[in-house]
Amino acid sequence: MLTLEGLTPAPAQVRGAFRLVPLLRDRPCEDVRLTLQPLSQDLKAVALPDGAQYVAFVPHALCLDWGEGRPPEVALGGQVGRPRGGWRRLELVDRLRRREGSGLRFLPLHLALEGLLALHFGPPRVAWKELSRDFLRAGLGVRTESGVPGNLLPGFEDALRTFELHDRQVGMLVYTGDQLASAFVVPSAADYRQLHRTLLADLYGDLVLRYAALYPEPPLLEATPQFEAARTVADLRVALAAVRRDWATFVQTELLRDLLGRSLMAEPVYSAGTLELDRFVTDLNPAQINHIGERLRRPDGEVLYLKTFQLSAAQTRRAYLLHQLATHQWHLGEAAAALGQTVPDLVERIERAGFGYLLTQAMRETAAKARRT
Amino acid sequence: MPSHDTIAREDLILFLNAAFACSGQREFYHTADEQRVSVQFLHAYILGNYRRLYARTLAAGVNDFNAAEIIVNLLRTGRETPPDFRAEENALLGAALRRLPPQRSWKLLARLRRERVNNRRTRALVRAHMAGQRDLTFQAVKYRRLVRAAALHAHLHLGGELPEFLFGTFRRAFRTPLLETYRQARYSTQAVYALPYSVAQGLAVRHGIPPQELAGRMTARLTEDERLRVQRRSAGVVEVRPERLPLTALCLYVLAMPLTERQARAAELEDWLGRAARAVLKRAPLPLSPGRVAAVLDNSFSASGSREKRRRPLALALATDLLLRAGCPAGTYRAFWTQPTPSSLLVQAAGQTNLTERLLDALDWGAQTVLVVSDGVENDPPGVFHAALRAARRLCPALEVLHVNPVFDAEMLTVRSLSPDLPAVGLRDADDLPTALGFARFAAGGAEVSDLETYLLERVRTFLKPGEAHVDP
Repeated sequence: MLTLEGLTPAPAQVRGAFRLVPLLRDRPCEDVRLTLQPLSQDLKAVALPDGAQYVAFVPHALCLDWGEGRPPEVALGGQVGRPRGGWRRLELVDRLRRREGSGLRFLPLHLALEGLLALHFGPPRVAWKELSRDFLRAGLGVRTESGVPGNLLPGFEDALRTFELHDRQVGMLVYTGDQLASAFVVPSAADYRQLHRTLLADLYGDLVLRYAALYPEPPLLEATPQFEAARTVADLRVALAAVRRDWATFVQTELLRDLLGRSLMAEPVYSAGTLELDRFVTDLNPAQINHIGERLRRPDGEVLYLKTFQLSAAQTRRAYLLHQLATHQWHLGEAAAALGQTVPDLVERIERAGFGYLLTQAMRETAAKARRT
Repeated sequence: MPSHDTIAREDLILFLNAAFACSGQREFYHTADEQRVSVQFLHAYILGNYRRLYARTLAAGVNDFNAAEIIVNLLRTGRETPPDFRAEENALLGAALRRLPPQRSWKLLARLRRERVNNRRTRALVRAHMAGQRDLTFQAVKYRRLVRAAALHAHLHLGGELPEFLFGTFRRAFRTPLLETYRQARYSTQAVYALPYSVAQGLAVRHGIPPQELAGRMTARLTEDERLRVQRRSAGVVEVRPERLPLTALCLYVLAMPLTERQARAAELEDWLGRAARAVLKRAPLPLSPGRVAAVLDNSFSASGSREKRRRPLALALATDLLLRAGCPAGTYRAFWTQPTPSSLLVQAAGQTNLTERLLDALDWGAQTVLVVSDGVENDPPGVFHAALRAARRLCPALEVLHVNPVFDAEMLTVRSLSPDLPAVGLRDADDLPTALGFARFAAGGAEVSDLETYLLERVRTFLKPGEAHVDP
């Protein structure tokens, strides 16, 4: 379950297609800092533990610093590896996350993306004869997922430029077409001020681009004024507080329906002192919009860092399918039964999702023949 | 369906508000192009439908940008002037052109040439304008290209050596000293320092004089605006003379200082600002009802303005604070900034806009008149000010709320108001605050279009009174 523990949403600010909800931290956080680390803007290649390679365009990195009683330090010029020659540089970054000096350097959102691409899908343990030889020998092979950089979203730059930051603001929920496009939370307000503009360099789902272009003006949600019954100025103050509270509950219950109250598949990635950095994906229900993300939490559940990415329907379908196959150890019969389908239909589904190359040619032909009759 | 009169009244108030606030420049929320397109549409619309009122708005204290637009538009469509209105319109045009600052009026005349607006009335207007100049030689030196365009366009026969200066080749010496200096400055470095600063700037480049040296040696000849522009770069050689600056310019100057400097020179700055505010009030007192007055001043992030109008909304809020402080008897005025500051002098633009909370603070304090200065974009939470205002009016029936808005909203074609019950009034210059407050009562009072006409006629009468200077009543 994803919760915004320790955070209170403030009333949204609307500009163009974007509804931006500021998140305020209830208790100031003084022992953890998240800062921007300069990285040259280039393609990065990361070797994963299982021998696979993760290649991505990375605009910037974050540096996480924790501990008490000492001033946070940031390692500057944290460039790792060496550029290879040629017109298109591919930089080697030895790990997505790396202990550096006293802090941890990691590439925002790529922890989650790496998970989506490779880690949520257990490889088959049994060499079923339906699976192609290449798959058994080389694994899933090359997979790509795409996103849209924030500066391509029409109106997003304007919305961020004219956004009025709150004093205690540590995060932001971005909505387009009243769907959560992304959530971003950092430990302290000072960090957020520094990182506000990086939202523009981040990655967003395809659907966000479509909504940003198609729904230019989200309706203004005007909290029903509770000022009618006021008898004194003090009552008016109470009413104002009530409207603010209504806004917070509205965000928590309605605007976050995509995320709240849904089970998450979470996987710890790193432990920083008592804090835990993990990546998660929502339950991959194809009927709903799903998100992947990464977060850092205290033992008491307070969210210190959060970043999410909205999956497109196709991405959800692919992830769901692979996840189902992995839970059934790639046994097609069992997986089809669990999905309430026949095996030939499942084969067609696998082919349509772009994973046809995982099955043998014979298997695909048999299934096609079975479907025709 | 609203009656014709209601529509006319609303249209005019819309237009006047735009003409008070919009300057066709980039604002926090809108680009310069959006502003221009929007305000030009308004001009075309009002000109087409209410020509007399359109001409009379020249007298209502509209800003220079809009006054120039109105003059050009009226000249361009001279044929549509009703015969019985001709004399008044001509008088208005002449008076308005005389009141424009020289750089604007010369630019306007050159623009008439570029846009090929040329008729007998235009030529007569240009001729009268030239004849009315106190020192045409100086103007010709300072705005040589523009004056030449105007003279060419209106087929003017200028007297003395001016034709030779504007159209000649500078072979022979002039008898007029200033013209001769200009001629010599093309060859001699010494003569450059005897010219007006902006002219000297161009020639200094030719002679390779560094800008600092030029400003340093010409200190005595700089105008106030030029002083403001160069003083930071001049390393202390050029100083600002605060007593000669208008209030808004002074506020902008103070707000551009770093906080530490403002803190260190607090007493001195307070003194300057107070004096400038009292000077404004001496010309026109604030039309405020007796009783406690509170100002709800917006210093949220959007008050930082734009690249072209840096901190302008904030400067107007500060100027309003100063005017009220100087204009209200001791103990009857208090300022409520949306992000509270220890002193108005240290105010900065940051954070969200929570006007409602400050309104309630003002009510708690017992304010009878509340003046809101804000761009009208409220976001903490949005739309609550309206509800709070309604309730507050029910609780304190004598409460009077006025909203002054320094930002023109290009999308809504007017200055944005905080509540349908509270029409906002545009404001570009703090000197116009007394006018704006008078107009605000008028705009909020649900007056008829005939009242508006009488109001404008009254303004026209004082505007056209001979010998009346730039001052608004």
